[in-house]
Amino acid sequence: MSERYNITEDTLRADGFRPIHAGDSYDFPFTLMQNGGWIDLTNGKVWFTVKESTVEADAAAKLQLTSADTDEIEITAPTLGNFTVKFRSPATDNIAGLWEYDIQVKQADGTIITVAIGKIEFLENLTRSTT
Amino acid sequence: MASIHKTITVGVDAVKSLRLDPTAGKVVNVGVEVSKSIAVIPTAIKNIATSHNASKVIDLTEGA
Repeated sequence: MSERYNITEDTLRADGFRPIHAGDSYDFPFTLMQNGGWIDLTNGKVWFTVKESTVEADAAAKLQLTSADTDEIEITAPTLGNFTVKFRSPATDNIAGLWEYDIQVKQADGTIITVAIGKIEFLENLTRSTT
Repeated sequence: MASIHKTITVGVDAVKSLRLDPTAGKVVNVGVEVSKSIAVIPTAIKNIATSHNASKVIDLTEGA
C-alpha cells in the first residue's frame, strides 16, 4: 500500500527538518518497510518524479531522478530498503513551486510499486550563481 | 535479582547508531526488544544522523 506523504515547507518544519529550496543540495534518505521487514531493492530501480499534473508524460516532468544515476538516487543499503534521493543544482534551479510527485520502485523480479505519492514544495531561490 | 546494565548495539548498517540502554534490573528479552526496535530505528536515524535534512520511513504494510 502506498503512502500519501506531502513534502512541503509546513510538513518538513513540523517534523523539525529544513525545507527544500530550488537549487539546493539536499539529500533525502528513505527507508521502505513492509510487515516488519525491509523492502529488498537489490538489483532494483527507484524513480522520483515531479510533475505539474498527474496526467503529464514523463518527458514533460518538472524533474525525474532515477537510481540509474547514483548522483540522482543512490540505493545505499539495498537489503535494508534504503535509498537517498539527491536534489541538486542545476536540475532543481527552476523548480520553485508546489508540484505532484511520486516514488516508484521496481524490484529485481519485475514487481513495480508506487511507494509514495503526494505534493512536494520547492521554496524559491534568488542566488543562481554556484561558482 | 542481579542487576542488568548494559548497552546493546544493533549490529546492522542501517541502525549502527542506535543503542538500547535497558535500565538496571529490568527484565529484557533481547529478541523481542530488537524486533520491536525496528519500528523506532528510523526515528533515531532521523534525529541524529541526517543533519536536519528530512528523512522518511515508508511502511507498505496493509493498514500500517
